[in-house]
Parts: sequence; C-alpha cells; structure tokens
Amino acid sequence: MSILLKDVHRAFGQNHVLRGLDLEVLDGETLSIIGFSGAGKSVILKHMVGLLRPDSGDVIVDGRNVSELDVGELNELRRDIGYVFQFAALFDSMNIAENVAMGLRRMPDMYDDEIMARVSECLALVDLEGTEDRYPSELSGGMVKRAGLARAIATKPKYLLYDEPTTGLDPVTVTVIDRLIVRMKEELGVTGVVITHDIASAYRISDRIVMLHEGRIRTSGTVDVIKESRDPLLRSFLEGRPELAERAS
Amino acid sequence: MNGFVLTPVEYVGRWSINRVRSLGKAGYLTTGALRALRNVEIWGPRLLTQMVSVGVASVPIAVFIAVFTGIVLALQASYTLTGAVPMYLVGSMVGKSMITELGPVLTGLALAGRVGASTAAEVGTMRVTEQIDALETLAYDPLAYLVVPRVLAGVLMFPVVIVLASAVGVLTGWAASLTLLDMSSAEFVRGLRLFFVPFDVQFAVIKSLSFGLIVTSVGCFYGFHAKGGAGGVGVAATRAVVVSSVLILVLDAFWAVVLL
Amino acid sequence: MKGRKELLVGSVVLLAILTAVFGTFWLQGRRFGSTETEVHVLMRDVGQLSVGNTVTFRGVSIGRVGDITVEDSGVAVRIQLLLDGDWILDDDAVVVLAPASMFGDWQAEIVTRSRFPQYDYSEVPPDVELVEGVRVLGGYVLPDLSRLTAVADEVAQNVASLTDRFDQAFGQETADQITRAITNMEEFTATLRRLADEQSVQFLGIADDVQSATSEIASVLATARGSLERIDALLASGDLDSILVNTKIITAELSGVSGDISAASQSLSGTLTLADSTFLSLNRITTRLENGEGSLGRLISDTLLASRVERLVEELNLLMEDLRANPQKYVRLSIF
Repeated sequence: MSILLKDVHRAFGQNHVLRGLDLEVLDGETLSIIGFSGAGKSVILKHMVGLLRPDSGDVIVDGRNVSELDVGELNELRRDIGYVFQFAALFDSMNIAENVAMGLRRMPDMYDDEIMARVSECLALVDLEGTEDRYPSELSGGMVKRAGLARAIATKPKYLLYDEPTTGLDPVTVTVIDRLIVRMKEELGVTGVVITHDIASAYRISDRIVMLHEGRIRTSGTVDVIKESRDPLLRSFLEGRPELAERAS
Repeated sequence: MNGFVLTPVEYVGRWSINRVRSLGKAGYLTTGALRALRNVEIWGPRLLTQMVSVGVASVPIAVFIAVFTGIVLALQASYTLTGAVPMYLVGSMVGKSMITELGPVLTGLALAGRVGASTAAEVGTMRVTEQIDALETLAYDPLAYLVVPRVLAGVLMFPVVIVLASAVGVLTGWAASLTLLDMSSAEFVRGLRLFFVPFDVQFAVIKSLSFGLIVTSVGCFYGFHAKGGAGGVGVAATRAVVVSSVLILVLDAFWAVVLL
Repeated sequence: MKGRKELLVGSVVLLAILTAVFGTFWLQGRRFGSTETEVHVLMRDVGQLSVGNTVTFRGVSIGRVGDITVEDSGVAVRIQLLLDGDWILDDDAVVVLAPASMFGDWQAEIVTRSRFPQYDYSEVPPDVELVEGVRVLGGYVLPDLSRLTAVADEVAQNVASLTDRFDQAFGQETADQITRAITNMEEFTATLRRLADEQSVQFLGIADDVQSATSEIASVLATARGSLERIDALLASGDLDSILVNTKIITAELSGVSGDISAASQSLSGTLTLADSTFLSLNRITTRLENGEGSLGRLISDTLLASRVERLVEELNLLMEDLRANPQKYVRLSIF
C-alpha cells in the first residue's frame, strides 16, 4: 500500500500551484519533498489527507481515491494518516493529554483508561512524559512540535505526513526531531512524507528526496542520487546559491 | 484588466461577485452545520462548555447593562410623563419596553460584541493556526466540533441571558421608581401589569433565539473564513461584531413587522 | 470541573425559566396555590376586552380574563373568566364590560342585574353548550368613548334639524307679526297723545263721561298689559312653539286696544300707574330683545324693527313726560 498522486492539478484563483503532479510514495519509506517556498509542498500533503481536493487528477492513498470518498470513509482513512502540522496546530484550549487523545476519542471501542494509557505511551515516545496537564502555550517550540507528533501517531497511523517538522528549531532540537522521525519508521513501520527546507535534515531522515518545482516533480532519487545530481536548480537549492537557479532558468 | 485601476463597472462586478460568493460560503456553512447536527458525539460534549462561555459568562455584562437601562427607563418615563398622565404609566413603560425591546436588543448588541467577537476570534485563530485542519485530520468535522455547539449554545443561552437581564431591568426600574420618583410599589406594579400580555415574553424569547443564532453564526462564519495571521483574526472579529449588530437591528425590525 | 460547569449552566437556565414563567404569571396577576373558579360569559361582542384583563367584583380585582373565543355558531362570543379562589355568584349575576381607564385597557365587572337594570344584558340561550360546573352569565358592553362620541354626534344632528325647523317656523311671518304689534303700540301711544291734546281743549264738555271712560281705559290697559306679560312669559319660558299662535292673539288684542282707546276718549284717572306698568312690561321685553335672549335674538338683527322699538320707547317717554309735566291735563279729569 502506498500513496499515489497522478496528474494532479490544483489552482487557487489565478495561482496554478500543482500542474500535473505525479508522485508515488512507496510503502515503508520516508520521502522528503523539498522545494522553494510557495512551490506547493504543503498543498501536496493536504491533498493526501483530503483537506484539499484536486481540480483534476487522482490522489490515491492506501488504494482509496481520496476525492471520491464520502465523509465517513474519509474519516476512516484519516485514522490511518497522522499529520504533523508546521506549527503543530495543537488545540490551545486543551492540555497536552487532551490534545493527544483527540484522535483516539474518535476511535470506536476505546475506553478512557485505554486512551490515557495510549496518550502516555505516545508522549513517552516523543520524550514528553509528565507534560500531560500542561497547556500548549506553556511549552517550548520543540516540545510543541513533539507534542504534535505524539498526537499524530496516537491512532497508530500507517502514514505520517510532516509539514516542516524542524523549521524554527535550534540544531539540537532539530536532531531530536529527526531521530524521532527515523524512529517512527523503524519502530512503527510508518510510511513518511516530510516537507522540509532543511537539507541536512532531509539527508538524515529520507530514503528518497523529490524536488518540487513549478507544480511538478523536478528531480527525484535516493539521498545519494540527489547529492550527486547536476541539476543546477537542485544544486542552487541544496547549496543555497540563487545564481545557479537564475542560470538554470 | 489593465493595471490596478478598476473601472466603476468592473468594481461593481467584483463587488457583486464577492457578495454572491460570501452568500454561497454562508449557505455552504449553514448546510454543513445542519448536516453536522447528526454528529452528536462530536458537538454534544462541547455544548456545555460553550453554554458556559456564551451564556453564563455573559450574564454579568447583560445584568450590568440591564441595571442601568432599568433606572434610565424609569427616570426617562417619568420625565416624559410629567403632567397630565398618571405616574403609574412609568411602570407600563418600563415593563413594556424592557421586556419587548430594550432587554432583548441591548443585551443582544452587548452579546454581539462579547460573544460575536470571541467566537470569530477563537474560530479565526484556529483557522489561521491550522487547528481546524488538524481537527479534520483527526477525523472531526470542524463544523460539528466548532460551529454546532457554539450556535446551539447561542440559541439556547441568549434567551436565558435576555430573560434574566429583562427581569433585572424591570426590578431596577421599579427600585428607581420607588427611591427616585416617589412612586409607590402598588402604583408601579399596577402600571407594570396594565398592558402586560404573556405574548410579550414569547416575543422576547423568539427575538432572543434569533439573536443567538445570528451572533454565533456570524461569528463562526467570519472566524471560519479568516485569512492570514493575527490581522486576519482581528478583521474577522471586527466584521463579526459589525455584521451581527446590524443583523440584530434588522431582525428586531423584522420580528416587529411579522409578530406585532 | 465538569460537574461544576453543569451545575452552573443548569442553575442559570433554571433561574431564567423560573423568572420567565413565574414573572409572566405574576404580571398577569395570577396567584399560586389557590383554587380557581371558572365562569363563562356569552355576549354578542366584547368591546375591546382582551385576554389577561382583570375581572372585578365590587371594584376589587378578583381574577382575569382567561380566553375569548367566538362560538361555533358565530353569533356569540364566549369569555372565560378565571376567578381566584372559590366563588359562588348571585343568581342574577351578570357581567359588564367597560374601559378600566382612559388608556384603552378594559375590565370585566361582575354585578347583579338589579344594580344596573337599564342595561340590555345578553341572554344566555337555553341550547348553549355547557361545561360541567361552569356558570354561564349574560353580559353587557358599555359603549366605549368612540361609541359615545357617535351617539353625541347623532344627538347634535337631531338638535340641528330641530333648530332648522324652528328657524323656519320662527321666520319672517313671526317677525312681521311682532313688528305689526309694535306698530300698533305706536298708533296706540299716538292716539293717547292726541287724546290728551284733545282733552285739554274740550275737557269741560266731557266731565260726565269721565268716570266710565276712566274705568274703561283702565280695563283696556289692563288687557294690554296682560298681553305684554304673556309675551314676556313666553319669551322667558322659551316655549317657542306656542309663540306663533300667541303672537297672533296678542297682536290682535293690541290692535283692539288702540281701537278701544280712541273709542274711550275720556278722562284717565288711574291711567298713570297702569300705563307705567304697561310701559315697564314693554321695556322689559325690549331689554330682552336687545340682549338677544331666547331665540328671538334674531329680531335684534332687524335694524328696522330695532329703530321702531326705539322710537316707540321714545314716544312712550314723551307721553310719560307729558303726563308728568302736565298732570292736570290728564288728571284733572279724574278729580272732577
């Protein structure tokens, strides 16, 4: 089972973001999507979880065409997908335990004690034991991100979508998060899709990296392939040298 | 379109398109919210919290307004009536205007500020910080989770707050008549009862229900479609207050025409 | 935490519901925990009575109007009165609906038929549908202010048409007759003066007839005075219908007087007082006319008539002066 996007088009008003995107995420791998800001990376993730629907083309997750699912089926699918938001998007009216428990409460046949046990388990997994009763505003940026991760994995999803998990964190915390992402894959067997601008991080966590440019996949390959790529646009991105990109276009 | 300058015709066209688009959005939100009524398991647990924040927490401000409204009404009535008209009509004027008009409308407007702004700000913040998206990815219908309990709480609690406020307004009007106007209790009560019909209360409750519906729906609507960051939330809150206040006055006139 | 929230919401909601329900009942003037007596009233219409108005008995509020429905037959209205407590009403109890104040609120007062027997109470038809244990009373709606105004309008119109008719009756003819009467008076006084002048010339020759003439003139003057007094009384009483007839009689009498006077050409013993009182009567009439008293006021507007009356008064004055100045001219006759 995997995630497959076929010839996906999506425009926001005049802004044609996705222009015939084809992308496949293989089962069990961690795929990083890199690309310039505003290239539509988050849009891809939102299509995978059904927050956005394509203007045309198919988004197939776990063998199910997302845009054809009704509400019930979509909710069922979403239980298999954990979404880690850029700024965690924790519910600030709830404490951390309640935040993590949110997804679990939508599971049938889950009792309160089971839910709380699972919450502790998830928080332990992201090294946030003892923060159950704290509120998001009381936590540091890194803790919030980890709490968001804990919430995403609470329902034991098969897929984890990370929207810039390391942006805005100090290098140590970045490493912590990276290790968590790797741990998710190794311990839980999760298929991961990571959007990142952080090349070092991408090298550490990814099996494959794709670069999004002008609404399509420009380059894709394993970490080694990407490192060796001669594509000037990719190189400009990797090396942070705008002049290469100018030459490329 | 050449450049940034719009011809008047284009301007009107864009304006109309935007209006129709908002109507469409509102309709979409409404039907979605109605459909979301089925998901009792989502909104049920949230309803109580919202009843507290929409209703119970609004009681103090509503009562505060009512206290002064009642006093002013009594004094104003006596000032207007001085002369040929018997003073017990102060009771009639306080009762009638407090119960049917000022209680619902003033409280409604105050709550449009309090509840409408906070609803728009809360929902708007959740929108711009992706919390609404997060709800969806966690298999919650955001309409069921956010909109339904707020609107229901508004519909249920506005009448409650308004009934209490009106009662307080009448009582302070009474107290003011006794202490400031040298009227007797019997006089005031006579005037109070003179033109009272039970329909007045029904009328006020019907109005209050609609005010609650409008204030919370408008707040949710603008919050739900908030864009950008903190600024977008501010815009949403301001619009929610302005639009719901205007709609309260329009609805007030509407009910007066339809029911009286 | 949750339990506290529930308690809070619950108590606020309950408080509001209690306020609304009990407030409504209290404002309606309903009492709690006591029995209620239901009474129905059947009437043709209910004026402006509305649900919730008070029911009074001997001026005390004892209940309220519960419901007002039009009977299925469509010819009567059934009013439900809810009285606080147990009430056993008089056998001839009826209900009078009337405004409670000038501000449009009405009340239903329970009275006995004997208290206001003049009202036309609605009767309860024998075939009326009865509810177990509920008295059905007859009733009467006092006309409200607008209806009174309508009635007053009608009355005013009647008065107006009466006045019109009176105006027609008291028209030119009557005025002419009165004018003629006054002309006759002028002639009468003229005759009187001429008589006096003649008398002074030829009084010696008529000494024999003095006694009889005097008494005759006295009686004539008495008649004249009676006539004038009758006019006076008529004007005072305002019995205008008979004025027409009487004026004719009086004028006839007055013309007779002047004839009699000329016939009774002789001396005037005692005439002074009689003439005086006649003159007084006349004077009173003219004063009344001048003041526009009675409906004869319109005569005043007749300037011709007024000047004649004036002239008459002048001549009478002359006569009186003459009488006073030369009493021997008249009085001597009686001395002899």
